[in-house]
Amino acid sequence: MNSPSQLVEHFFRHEYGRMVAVLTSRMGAANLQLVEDAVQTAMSRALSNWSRYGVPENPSAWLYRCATNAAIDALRHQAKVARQLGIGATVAEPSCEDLHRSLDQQVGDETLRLLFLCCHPSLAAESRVALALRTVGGFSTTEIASGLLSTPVSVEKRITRAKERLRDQTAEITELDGQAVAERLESVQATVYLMFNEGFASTEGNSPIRQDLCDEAVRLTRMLASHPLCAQPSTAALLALLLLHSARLGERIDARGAIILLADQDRTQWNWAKVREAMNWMLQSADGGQLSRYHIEAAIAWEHSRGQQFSSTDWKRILELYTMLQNRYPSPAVMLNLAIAASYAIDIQEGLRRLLQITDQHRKSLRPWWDCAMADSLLRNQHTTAAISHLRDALALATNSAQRAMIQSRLDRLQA
Amino acid sequence: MPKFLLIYRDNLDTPQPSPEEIQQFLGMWEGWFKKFPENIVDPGDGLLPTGRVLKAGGVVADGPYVEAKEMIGGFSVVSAESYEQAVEIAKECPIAIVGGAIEIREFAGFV
Repeated sequence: MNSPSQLVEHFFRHEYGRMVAVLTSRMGAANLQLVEDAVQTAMSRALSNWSRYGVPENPSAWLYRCATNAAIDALRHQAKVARQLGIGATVAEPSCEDLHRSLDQQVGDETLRLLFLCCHPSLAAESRVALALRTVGGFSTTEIASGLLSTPVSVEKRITRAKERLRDQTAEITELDGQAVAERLESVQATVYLMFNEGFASTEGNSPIRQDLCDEAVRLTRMLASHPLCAQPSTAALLALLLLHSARLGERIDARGAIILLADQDRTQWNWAKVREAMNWMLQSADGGQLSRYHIEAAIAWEHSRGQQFSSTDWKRILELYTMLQNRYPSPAVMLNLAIAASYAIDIQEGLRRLLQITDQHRKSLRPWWDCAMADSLLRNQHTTAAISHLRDALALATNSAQRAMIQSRLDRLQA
Repeated sequence: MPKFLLIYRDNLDTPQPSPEEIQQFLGMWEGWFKKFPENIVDPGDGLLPTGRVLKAGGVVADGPYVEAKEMIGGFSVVSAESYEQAVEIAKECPIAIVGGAIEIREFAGFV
């Protein structure tokens, strides 16, 4: 017997995902809800039992056995109800032996297979993230809601609808084979990237869930990177990108909850071990002729991490990379960054010219960041009054308290 | 020393704990048992959310007996000098900390 404090961090959260993955692969995607209920039951029992009598030698096996029994009970109950209602034997009763295979031999592809299932093409991008966080990540509705800046009710709805979709369709992925990977790897990568970005951007209230969301995205990408079929150059590039961003996650928000801009971050506080690891993945990503958006974005993040100080940033190289990104994967955010890079790599006038080229519609979608960039360039050109006016506009467009705090402190400094 | 039954009444409005919260609760229980090793004479057990109620006249109803928004979710037995001390111990029980109610009843000592 061990004591509960000896359990590894996030033990239950990770076991949740693992068990849902294993049981869903046995019982089918149609039974996702039943499986989740069974896993929840197992965890509640573990809480009652382990708190009183200690943690068993093999806690994973204990949980798995308990969840399996609960799932079998539920299936039997369903079958019984179906028979009583005369619906016929639509519910196949699994044999116990089938399910009680030893845990050690079979947790391989199941987690990834569940992740691929959550990334079914018929689901909206946000639903994929929410569903993956719940089933693969073991996050609760409340945790997901605060991570995605949504409400628990709408997250729950989203997840329920997604599960219904998966039940309707022949969504099943029986094996993580070449075909499944070819069809869905891109969607899986995009989902994991979105998961990370939600954590990275959701600065509301400095909640620790941000870090957890980012960590979960990195964990899943690591699993992808170690799977023979999923370990493609684009996966390595994505992992490098996420590691580079997460290396400076801790330094991105100050003690008062305000965003710290890259130029002002204390680089000695970055997680340099992650930067080094990212470098290795970048080398691996260069294997083969593929150039995904993650390759380019990782290269940009790498350029930003490379300099000892903000002033030693190689802006010419960053301008090249953003130009490449804009040509292949255009977006308003890329345009904005391209303009900022030009203001450093060429001159401020060029930066302003490009900022002004961005259409009204695109400016709107950038929320406060277009005005922030304008203010920054104007300030570097000593146009303080115009800069203040843009910062005021930015303040009105800010979407969360961290953005507001950052903009307000810049305003305060200028008006002092 | 007198014995007291602690009856844990879970609030039915509280959502099921997330995996992460379960791990936290587990740590809190461990802390509680470690803090009062002399007093907690029986850690007790949890109760399943299922049940039957046998009413007068032999009527059997499904489900546990639920009072208002609370359902008995488990119990433990502690020994204490007095109700005051039993309450002090119960106050630090994780059930109380996470917002559940605890009913404290002294053993009659008939047996």
